[in-house]
Amino acid sequence: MKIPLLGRPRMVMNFVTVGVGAFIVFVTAISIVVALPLASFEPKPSERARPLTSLERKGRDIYIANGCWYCHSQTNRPQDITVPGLTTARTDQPTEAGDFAFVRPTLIGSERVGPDLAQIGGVLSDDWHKAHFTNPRYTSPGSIMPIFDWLGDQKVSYTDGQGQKQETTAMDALTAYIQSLGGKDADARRAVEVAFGKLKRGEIQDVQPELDAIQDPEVREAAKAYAAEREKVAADWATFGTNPLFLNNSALALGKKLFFGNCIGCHGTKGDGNGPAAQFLTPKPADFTADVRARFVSPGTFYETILNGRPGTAMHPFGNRLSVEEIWSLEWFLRTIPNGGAEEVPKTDMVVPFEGTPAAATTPGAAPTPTGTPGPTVAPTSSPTATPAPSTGRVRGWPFARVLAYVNDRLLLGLRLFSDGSDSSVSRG
Amino acid sequence: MSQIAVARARALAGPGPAPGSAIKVFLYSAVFWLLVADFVGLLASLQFINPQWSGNISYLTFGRLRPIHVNGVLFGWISMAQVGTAFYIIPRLCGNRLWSESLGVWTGWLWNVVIVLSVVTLLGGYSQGREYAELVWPLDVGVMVLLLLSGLNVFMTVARRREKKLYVSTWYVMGAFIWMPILYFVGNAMWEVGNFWQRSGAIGGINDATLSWFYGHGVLGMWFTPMGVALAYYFIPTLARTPLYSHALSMLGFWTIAFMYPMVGHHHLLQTPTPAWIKTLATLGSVGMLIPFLTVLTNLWMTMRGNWQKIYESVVLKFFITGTVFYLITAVQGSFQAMQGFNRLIHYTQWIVGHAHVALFGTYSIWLMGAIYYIVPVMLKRRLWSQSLAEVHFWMATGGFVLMMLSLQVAGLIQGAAWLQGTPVENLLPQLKPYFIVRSIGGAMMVTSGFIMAFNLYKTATAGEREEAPTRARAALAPEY
Repeated sequence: MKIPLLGRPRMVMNFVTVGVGAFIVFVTAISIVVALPLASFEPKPSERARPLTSLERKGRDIYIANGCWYCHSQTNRPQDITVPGLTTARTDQPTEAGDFAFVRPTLIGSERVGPDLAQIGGVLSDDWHKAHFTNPRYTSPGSIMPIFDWLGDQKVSYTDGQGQKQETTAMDALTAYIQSLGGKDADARRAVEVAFGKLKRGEIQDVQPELDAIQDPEVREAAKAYAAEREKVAADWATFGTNPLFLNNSALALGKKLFFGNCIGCHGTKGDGNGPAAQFLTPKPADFTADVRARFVSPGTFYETILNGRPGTAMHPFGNRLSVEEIWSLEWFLRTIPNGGAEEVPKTDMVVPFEGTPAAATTPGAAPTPTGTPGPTVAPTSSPTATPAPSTGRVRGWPFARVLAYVNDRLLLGLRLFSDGSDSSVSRG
Repeated sequence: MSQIAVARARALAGPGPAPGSAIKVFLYSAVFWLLVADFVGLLASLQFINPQWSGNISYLTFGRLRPIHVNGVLFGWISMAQVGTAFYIIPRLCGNRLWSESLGVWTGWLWNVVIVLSVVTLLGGYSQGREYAELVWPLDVGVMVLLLLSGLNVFMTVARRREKKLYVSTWYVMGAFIWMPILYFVGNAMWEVGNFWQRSGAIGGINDATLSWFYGHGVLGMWFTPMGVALAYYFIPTLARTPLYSHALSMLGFWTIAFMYPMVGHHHLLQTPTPAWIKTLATLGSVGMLIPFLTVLTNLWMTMRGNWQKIYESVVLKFFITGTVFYLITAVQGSFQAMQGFNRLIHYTQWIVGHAHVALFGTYSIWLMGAIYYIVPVMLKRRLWSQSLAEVHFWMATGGFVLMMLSLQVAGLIQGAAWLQGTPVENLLPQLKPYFIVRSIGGAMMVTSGFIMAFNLYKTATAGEREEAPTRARAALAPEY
């Protein structure tokens, strides 16, 4: 092959051409892709960016040292926000260049095995993080994150706001860092979270003074607006007395499956609020076994709590994980727990109907619905997943049908193991 | 350069170690680090299947194991093996011996010290928090010294060559030793000393991501690629016993790699808030990379024309040709991944992990394994102990790798599609478990194949049939050792 322009190629590639040429060409390329952007691109700090405190910086060191950033990215990409709540709750803006103004290195990451953490701050309570680091399966049954319990034994020292040297555990420092992600937006969420937490523990009577005490005016206004919004939404939904989803065994089976897939870490397999994470949480997770909760807490409150979480508690938003129908199914299932829905196959007749909130009952505009059961059309056999027709032990007919029935049974066994919590009722045809 | 000058140079270096000692130090160490780093990678992959297995032990968590795997493979296995093989091919292409054998041996041992210290520090959680640049500042200095020392040896060997013409492999090795130290210094931001055990080696703000990925992809483009391509350019014509197809094509490939490869790194940041012009440049550069990739492949495959049956005669050639096939896959994937549309789908997914392994295992590691099967017996003046065990190694490594690549990339497509449809990251994990299991099976095969290679080399050294006169194929380009 001859390319005319290259002339006598063998003479071209001598020691000097290769050595000096390779150097010059490479340096030219570097000046284009490194020197030029560094010299020309200096984004200003974004509105939410802020420098980290001493404790948060220590936490960041622990985040880097333990390679958290290999699995947790820190960038809310444009395509992430078109799907509401894909990554975390209230991450409604893509990451801007100015968000990284105070960080070094950026920790954008190249892999997303766990959720993105760009704006995770203030979404979850400190207690939740403690339980999660101790064993991620405590709070998130499907997680594949390793155990970081040992962070609780490692000590770090930092300088507090008054310039005093303090000592704390690596786990607390890491939690402080995670809570800072999202900058001032996170600070506002976290301030609300902390204030409601104090309210729930009875340390304060009103959250307003707490929120008024925030130093940064932007954060203060955002926090107050956020707190007011949360209270209004909660109050509105408290009067919503009817679960709009058609009640049948299928809904209950789905609700039970979701309960076991998402909730048992804190609320326990019996729904008694005694899951493995509960020991770390104050206030304690809700106990669904007592029927007062089902009778006097409205379906709307259940729905809103699952959708948006409950500030001041470890109950975080599930709206990004569950569909509307799934949340209402879960609501139906929670109403069967006082009658043994968590331990047996939940049936429609186990549902404890909502009788009205004490406050709502006195409000003329929001009369409580007498019963949560929408109608009489519920047939126990309408759902093959929840209550498969009991196998008679021997299937008649040609062998293939028997094989099929057997396979069917085995498949159902898997499903029922998940929803029943026991396999004692499974017959082997 | 005259014989006398060479003799004088050698006399100045002192009695020193026997010729080939440096190669042995480098290649044996490289195989050792392959076993260590791959095994650590396998351990880390098990956490995707059962995250509880690490118990409450910090040293076994994924975040500690992954940098050991990555840095062990990059700077332990591939770099050492590539420098070792360069020490083999450069003297043969220059018609002389390595400039300083004792410097080579010392560099090799120093290299091992740096890698041991890297493993220890990473295990202890000392990291700079940038991918492929995790090593703390003092170890960065160590790596720089190693690169400069081995580069000096290579350049002095080339400067004192007896063969006037420079073969294409020599250009690439020279290029690599010019590019990599600059890249390492700039990309690691080594002037940012800071608190050098932790917070150092990064500039502030989003620009650090630009710098970091210039470096991250540059390690592949300006170090592994030229060193690897040099090997392929040396061994494929040697084993096919045919002159290289085209000199002009190799020049085109060399200069396009030198100019375009440094520009592509930013394609890792297409979904992040960085300037659009540099993203566009990265996309253009990445697609433009098809030129050097395809010229290299055309050149190598046209050299094989009429010689394809020889892959049945030589397991080494089999490794090299397989490597070229994965090279094509890397090239095509790499170029199309850098396009905004496809990148939206696969960014942050396991696809990327799969792709990284295609280049580093499928191409460069496979080539290096082939080269080691060729060079170590020559160095030992023995025949390879078992040709069939080498075949077993080949099929196990390739088969395991294909399993791994496919499982990761299919998992990546599932992730990408599910995320775009609104499935939260954590909800998808249980569905990905089968793919993670297949990945670990593939990984286990790859690790096992490495142990088979190590065993075969050990038996070659201790029980291989002695072979004073090299065979005809070797004599062609291995006149002395």
